[in-house]
Amino acid sequence: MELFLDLLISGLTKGSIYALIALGYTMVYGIVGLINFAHGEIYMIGAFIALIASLALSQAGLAGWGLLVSVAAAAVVYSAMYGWTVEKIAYKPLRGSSRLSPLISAIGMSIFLQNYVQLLQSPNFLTFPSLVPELGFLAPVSHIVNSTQLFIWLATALIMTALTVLIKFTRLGLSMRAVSQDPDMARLSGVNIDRVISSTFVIGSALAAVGGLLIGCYMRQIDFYIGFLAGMKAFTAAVLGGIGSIPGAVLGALVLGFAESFAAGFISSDYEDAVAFVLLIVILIARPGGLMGAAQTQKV
Amino acid sequence: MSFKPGRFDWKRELAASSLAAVWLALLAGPLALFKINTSDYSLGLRWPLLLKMAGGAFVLSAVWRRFLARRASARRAAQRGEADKPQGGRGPARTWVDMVMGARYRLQIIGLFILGLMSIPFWASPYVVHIFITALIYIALGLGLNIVVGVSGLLNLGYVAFYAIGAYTYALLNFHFGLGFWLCLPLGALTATALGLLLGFPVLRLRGDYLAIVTLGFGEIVRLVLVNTELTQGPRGIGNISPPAFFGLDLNSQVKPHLLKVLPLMSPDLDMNKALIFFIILALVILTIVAVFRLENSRLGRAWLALREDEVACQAMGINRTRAKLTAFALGATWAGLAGVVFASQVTFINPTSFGFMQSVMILSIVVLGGMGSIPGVILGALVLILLPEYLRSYDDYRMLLFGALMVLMMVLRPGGLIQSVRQVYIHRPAASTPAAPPRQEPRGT
Amino acid sequence: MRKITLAILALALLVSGPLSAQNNPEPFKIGYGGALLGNLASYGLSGFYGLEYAVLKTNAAGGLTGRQIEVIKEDDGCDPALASTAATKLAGGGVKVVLGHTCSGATNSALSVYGSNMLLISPSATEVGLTESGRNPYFFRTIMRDDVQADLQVEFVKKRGFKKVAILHDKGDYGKALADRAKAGFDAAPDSGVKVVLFEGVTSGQPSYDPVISKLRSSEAEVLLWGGYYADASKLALQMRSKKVNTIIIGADGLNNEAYVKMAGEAAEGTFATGPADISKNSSPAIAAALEDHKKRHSEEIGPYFFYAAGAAEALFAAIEKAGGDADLEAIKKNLQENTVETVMGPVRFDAKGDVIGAKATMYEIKNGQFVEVEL
Repeated sequence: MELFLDLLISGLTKGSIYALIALGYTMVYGIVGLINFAHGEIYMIGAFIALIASLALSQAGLAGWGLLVSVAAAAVVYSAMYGWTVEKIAYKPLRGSSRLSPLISAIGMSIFLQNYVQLLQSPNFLTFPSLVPELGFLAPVSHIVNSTQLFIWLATALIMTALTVLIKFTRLGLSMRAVSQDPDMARLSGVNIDRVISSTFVIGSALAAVGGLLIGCYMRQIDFYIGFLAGMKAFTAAVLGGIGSIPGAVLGALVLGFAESFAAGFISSDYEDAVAFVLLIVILIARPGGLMGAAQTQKV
Repeated sequence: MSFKPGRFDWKRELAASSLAAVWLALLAGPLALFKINTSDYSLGLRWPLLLKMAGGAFVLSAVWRRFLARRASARRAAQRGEADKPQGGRGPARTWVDMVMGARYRLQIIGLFILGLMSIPFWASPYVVHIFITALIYIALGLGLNIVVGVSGLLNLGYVAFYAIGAYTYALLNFHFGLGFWLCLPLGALTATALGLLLGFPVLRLRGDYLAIVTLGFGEIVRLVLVNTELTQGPRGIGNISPPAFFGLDLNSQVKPHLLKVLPLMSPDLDMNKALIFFIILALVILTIVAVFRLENSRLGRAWLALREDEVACQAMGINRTRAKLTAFALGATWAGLAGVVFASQVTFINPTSFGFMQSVMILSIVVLGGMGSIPGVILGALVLILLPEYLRSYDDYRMLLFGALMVLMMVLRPGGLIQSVRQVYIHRPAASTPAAPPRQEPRGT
Repeated sequence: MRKITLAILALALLVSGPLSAQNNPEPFKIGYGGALLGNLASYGLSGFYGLEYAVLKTNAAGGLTGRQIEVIKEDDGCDPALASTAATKLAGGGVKVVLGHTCSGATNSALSVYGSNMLLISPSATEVGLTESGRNPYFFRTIMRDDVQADLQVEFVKKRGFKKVAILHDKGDYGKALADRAKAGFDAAPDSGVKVVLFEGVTSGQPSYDPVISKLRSSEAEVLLWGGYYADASKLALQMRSKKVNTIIIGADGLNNEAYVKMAGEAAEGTFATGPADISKNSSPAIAAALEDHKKRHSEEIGPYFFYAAGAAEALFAAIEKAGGDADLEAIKKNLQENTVETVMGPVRFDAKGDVIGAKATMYEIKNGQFVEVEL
């Protein structure tokens, strides 16, 4: 029983880490429909910027919450800039061509960015500081939940809510939904597609940076390769939850986290990913539109 | 982007390129300017590097804008002259393929080309032979995946699983039972086909990215099984896989000396087994091309195309969707299995590292970058994506950086692939009654 | 036409790469193969830095057989397929002796290309079969084999009287082999009272190892044998300590690295790791000089294989010098096996199989951020 509870919390931790990455991922994925391979790399760049900013700013004398907030701001701004630029260079010229063309361009971008960071910074693993200050009231349960974990949960919940509100209730959200349903029709209705897609990338990339910062604080180390696994998990979670559904991405990520945790606990961590993928296949066969995806209607 | 045709406004160009340089300097700022010293986590400053990068961005932007402007004006000129050209081919790459395929002596040209390829082991270095074997293996893989992705429109992100199955079938049968290459070649293909069917059944209902993620999962499951089971020796891998037998001759001691006497250009360092593998894979690729070509124009091939274009309509037309999907998966897998057996005999040592998700991605890139559904496209795609990193080896650390950048560039310049497929058109066109439509470039996938 | 011009330009660019690399007349070519790009690049680069150190030192002292050494490096990404290509490229590039191949799998595949025409010394490939199989006449290594270290770990656990052992590995060729060997060691001596309560592979590079730590907690293991590298180990240590799981970690040379201490910080205290007896951390002046020299050129750490590579290169250069060049591999082999060379990693000589002699494994413990030798 104790093991079960332990695994439950482990699964929640793992799932919320995946969720944090999947949220930014599903933003772009749901609206532009692009399997954004470079998203993991933006997340990685966010983590690197955060590390550099934290080193520079702590030299300048910042500490505690001030440091965390300013590092987050730097990472978010820079990742958003990267997201915007990547979209302009690699995806915009391919708008209107087949759906797989931007996918390949994204793969190229992902290879480029990985090597860009390896060459500019380091092929080594770098120590990441624990930027989230320890919260006093968590001290008695710190072996179960530490403040970084709590922050990851909070950030996930907050971002999920904010994104849902953004997409459901704002004008930009309306344009985004319009673009995702039918770009041509949206254009005819006076939606500035370029701007909507750019904002989607900017928001998605900014969220990736939040993930990079918080998960960096949790892992306590980063390297230029962390984006690969993150991107794959985010993609899996987003599809599992139902493409384009924001709560779905979180649910998908949690299911993935729990599946891996219980597989590791009760079967063997040799096969944790395999079990997670088997579960994924079973779920998708039962619900071909994902956990929270709208039922697919086929128009004839 | 709007350009005045033919006029070069250098002020605007200068401003635009400077802007690009400033933006890059800003963007790369933290990563390029600050260098984390990993021994004491201090930050070093690298102004010269940042300036160099900004300068590079300026030059690149200027060249790129010039290129875009020229391309735009060329396109306008082409549009203006379109009335004179009833059937305009798009881009040079298609034109030369058209030239070859439409030529009177096309069989002779293709024959000469194949002869040229066949001569490679007799004059090229062992390294060139080696990378050509790799490229040919990837051509076979690309053509196989092309059936699934390009022709049938089923996005498969776990294709490498079948490649692994082929390779491991040979490696294991050779390791445990001493079975030879020639017996294992069909066995590997069969095993892969069976696995393709196994994957095909459960995913019949899925489409689009849901299908993609399930195939990705399948690929990962196969890899994890290879890593975790004792039978496959896990990450330790299987070594000492025998090369293909050739009429019981030891090629290096019994055949090579004679060949060297006759062929002065042949490299004395060449491992003759590699030469044999080169011919085997070349023959396999030619066989694949013929088979895929015939398949595409068969009843089954048309069913696949229909499946790609519209599943519902395809079913309504009385096509057996289940059978079409399953055959696509199974046949695609067959070629991966064949390629896997050849791969195992080429490297003689395999472990699961060679069959990761990135390999599936590379094969998919070959298909899409080459031109989905187009046989010459896939061939060119494989040659470019496999040989390019090898050519870029002289750039040392920048190899993969340049490779990634070139992948983006190629895709941006030719969004439909290097050589786009031309749909077989079955129209009888009455003389000049309707404006002759150029062969339509089909949008791929949905 | 413009397209053709562009194509020619591109071609010229491709061709100019290799041409511009040539400068010195008749340099002595040494190959280096290993992971220089991709996720294992830090390990491959570590070995390269070691070679670079030895080469610069030798070149400054007049070179090898009177010629300056030029290193030709090829990336293999630790993938056997790429390693085979890289090896073929090195073989065709006029190289007779090669240092490297970072991972055992890649080394295995490269050796099938080198055969009996080229000589390879690896600073990092630990798989037992590479030398033990007797298939590779010209393969040597300066690093200790998996079995030496795993056996020492088993010995250590028994001597210290631990009863419950957990073994985790990173599913890689290095980590899994270590773990397998250690498990076999415990299984072979059931009367010692040591029980392996957990044996599993974890996915390397994961953000969270929580599930397996939960399992570790419930298995009540006293010690954890880690088969893998320092990066995952430090993450594991941090997350274990933050979850108040105090199982003692025992690693091998993949963990025996300053970077582990740096990354795990407080959590690293009390970790044990096997390593060669000769490289006592920062003690000899030669090591200090090498570190100082490296620091001048790179801002990166030396990584785990620096000294193995530098030692291998120094031994190799001495053997080549004595043989008068690299034409006669048999002579180099003989020199490597018969003469002991004082290198930066200590005295180096190889046995008949190609393993380094005197690679006596020792147990280290991390005390106050330093690796300290301890008695079993």
